[in-house]
Amino acid sequence: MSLNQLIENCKINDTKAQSELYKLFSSKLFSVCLKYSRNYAEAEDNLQDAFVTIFKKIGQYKSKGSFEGWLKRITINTALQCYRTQGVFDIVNDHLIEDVAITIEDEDNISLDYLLKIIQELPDRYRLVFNLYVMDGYSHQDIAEMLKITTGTSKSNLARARQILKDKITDYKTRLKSQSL
Amino acid sequence: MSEKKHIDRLFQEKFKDFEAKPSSNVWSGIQNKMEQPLQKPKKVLPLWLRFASIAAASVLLFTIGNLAFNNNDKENNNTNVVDTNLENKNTTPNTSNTKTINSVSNNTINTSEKTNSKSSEYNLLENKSTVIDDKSKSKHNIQTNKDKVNSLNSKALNTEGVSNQNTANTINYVASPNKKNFNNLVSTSINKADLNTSKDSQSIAQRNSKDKKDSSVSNNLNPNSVINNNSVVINNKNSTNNNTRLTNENNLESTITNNNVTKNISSNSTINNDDNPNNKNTIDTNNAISNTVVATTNSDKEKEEEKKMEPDSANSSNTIEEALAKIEDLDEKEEENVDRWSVNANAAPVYYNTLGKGSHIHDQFIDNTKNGEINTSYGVNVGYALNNRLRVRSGVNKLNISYDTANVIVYENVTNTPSSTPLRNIDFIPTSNGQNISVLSSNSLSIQQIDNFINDDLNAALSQRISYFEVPLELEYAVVNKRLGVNLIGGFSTFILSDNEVVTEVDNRKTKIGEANNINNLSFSANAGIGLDYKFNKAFKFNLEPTFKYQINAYSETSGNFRPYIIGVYTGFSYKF
Repeated sequence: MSLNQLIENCKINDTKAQSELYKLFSSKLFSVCLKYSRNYAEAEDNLQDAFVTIFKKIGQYKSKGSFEGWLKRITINTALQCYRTQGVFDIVNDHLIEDVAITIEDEDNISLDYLLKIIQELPDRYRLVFNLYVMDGYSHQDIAEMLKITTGTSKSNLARARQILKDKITDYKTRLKSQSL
Repeated sequence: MSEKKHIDRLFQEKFKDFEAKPSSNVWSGIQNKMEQPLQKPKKVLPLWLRFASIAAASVLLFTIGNLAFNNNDKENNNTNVVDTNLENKNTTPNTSNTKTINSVSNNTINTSEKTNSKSSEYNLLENKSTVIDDKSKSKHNIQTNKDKVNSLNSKALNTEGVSNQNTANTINYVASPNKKNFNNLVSTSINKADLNTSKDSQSIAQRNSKDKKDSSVSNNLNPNSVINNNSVVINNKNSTNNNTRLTNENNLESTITNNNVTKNISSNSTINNDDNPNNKNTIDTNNAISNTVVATTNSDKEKEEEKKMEPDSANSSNTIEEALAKIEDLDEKEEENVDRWSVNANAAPVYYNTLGKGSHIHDQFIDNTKNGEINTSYGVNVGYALNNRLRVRSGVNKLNISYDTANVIVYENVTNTPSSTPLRNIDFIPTSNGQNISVLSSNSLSIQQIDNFINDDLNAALSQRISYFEVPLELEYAVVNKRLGVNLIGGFSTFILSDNEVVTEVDNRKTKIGEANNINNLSFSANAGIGLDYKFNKAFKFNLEPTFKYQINAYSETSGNFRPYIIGVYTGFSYKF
């Protein structure tokens, strides 16, 4: 069954097609949820909501652009929605930090799990901005609109996020070195 | 080896192919959520609708059928609302008894009293004298008022048409030799009153006959303006405001129906009667003739008192009105606090009848034909919406009902013996000369037993009149919740007895003979009805609610199988806020 056929079947609420679609994309979308959420459980909740929205709105998908991109947008929106309704954005200092190039040496032995962990540990808005900008390629302009903040805040949040991540990675490496010595 | 890399690149590369398998809970959760909204649109309403329409149709048919079949002898009784006021005033036994016994023609009080007792001759004299007094005074009035009467607004006259009729009726009862004069007197007094009210304000005068509250307002206005004139005028005026409540009652010293608040006052009035045995006969006759005359006689002997009473009564009516207004204000305030409230004012023709065959009066009337009459109910309800469809409501209704037992014979025992026991469920008012009234079912008499002087149309009816305050507590379920709505209504009502009397009707002449002693002060009913409403907008709607109320515990003891019910088509407007 082609993807297009699958989509068409999903549009008529075919349970089998929906299940098929879920199998195809759930892992990919779950990774998105994990990045945008604070923890695993929240990520699952988001994924669930995202798929419900997808199945309800699949009739609105007009085969323009990639289907996966569409799914991803919905998932990200769902994750953001959660914070929008909860209103749990941290209050952070919005003063601009110079966007210095933060570089990492010798990244090989840093596990993905650890990276995910430190992303999830970021304050909510830092995490969202970092994900949107770095992982999913949104511009500061887009982010500002999506999160109802200014582009300045977005840039500042991104810089803060990078700084925190870098510090944590550096920490991590020194600990690893001290262990190996 | 130590290759420098931008942190963004690090994350982008690491997460490029990142995928994670969610737990199976997620999929089942999705399925649950997907199924729920799909089921919602399927509603199970059609069954409800079917039941509702059947119930609605049956209640409507029942109501219409009852109205149609029982309409025969009702034309006269329909005017009860106004009539009763006057009738009650005539209920003083002296005149009424003679009427019933000698109902062959329009007897004069004087002759009837002659036949009844010797002592009445004295009364007669006194009557005459007072009549003459009245006449002279009324003549004076006529003259002084004539000019004013001519300039009288025809509208005001029309509004008083009903009371005019009534006074005319009472005049016929008495058929005194001075009929013309009395007529003049009465009509003048009416005119005079009209004049006054129209002077005060035309609009009030017009509403007078329709709206009791308003009329009491106008009453309050009148005494002030008239006290300055001579006392006769005062009396005239008060007496003519037959439709109005409070001032009237105090002045006329007679029992009253139709009033919400007047039970106490009316009991006072009867006490007054008893207290003044000397005045009684004159008062009685005057009552029978018209309220006007009563007032005038009073003015003969008790001018000073009358004058004092005048402002008192006005005050009392004021205070009662104020109290009512306060209660209403309170209600409104309470309602305003919360959303989802609604207020509903309604009025209804109500029909009272019994399911079983029986009599609430006496065993002997079980087989008599009985008619429920169509009376009125009106009141205010407050509703609170529990949710979209369910609404709880309560309120206060004033309910007047009456129930006729036909084919009875009413007569006065000439001998003052208690041998002929009166009806056990009625407390009779003793007549002025201490004679008993007896009531018999004509079914139980053979023709030979009926004396010659009693002719056919003596067949009287015994009419039970009850007035209740009703406090309903009902639940309303909206079956159809659109512009045109259909509701199912169920609940119960508490009835608080406010007035109760037994009246005899002979040739449309009505006489109070006593009151029933078997009506419970507190009774209940089970209610069921169908409500139809039309929503003009979000706040206003028009309601039509045919409702059936089965009364429980209404009578403490009845004969036969007497199970009363009430059918009313409650019509009104409600305002939601």
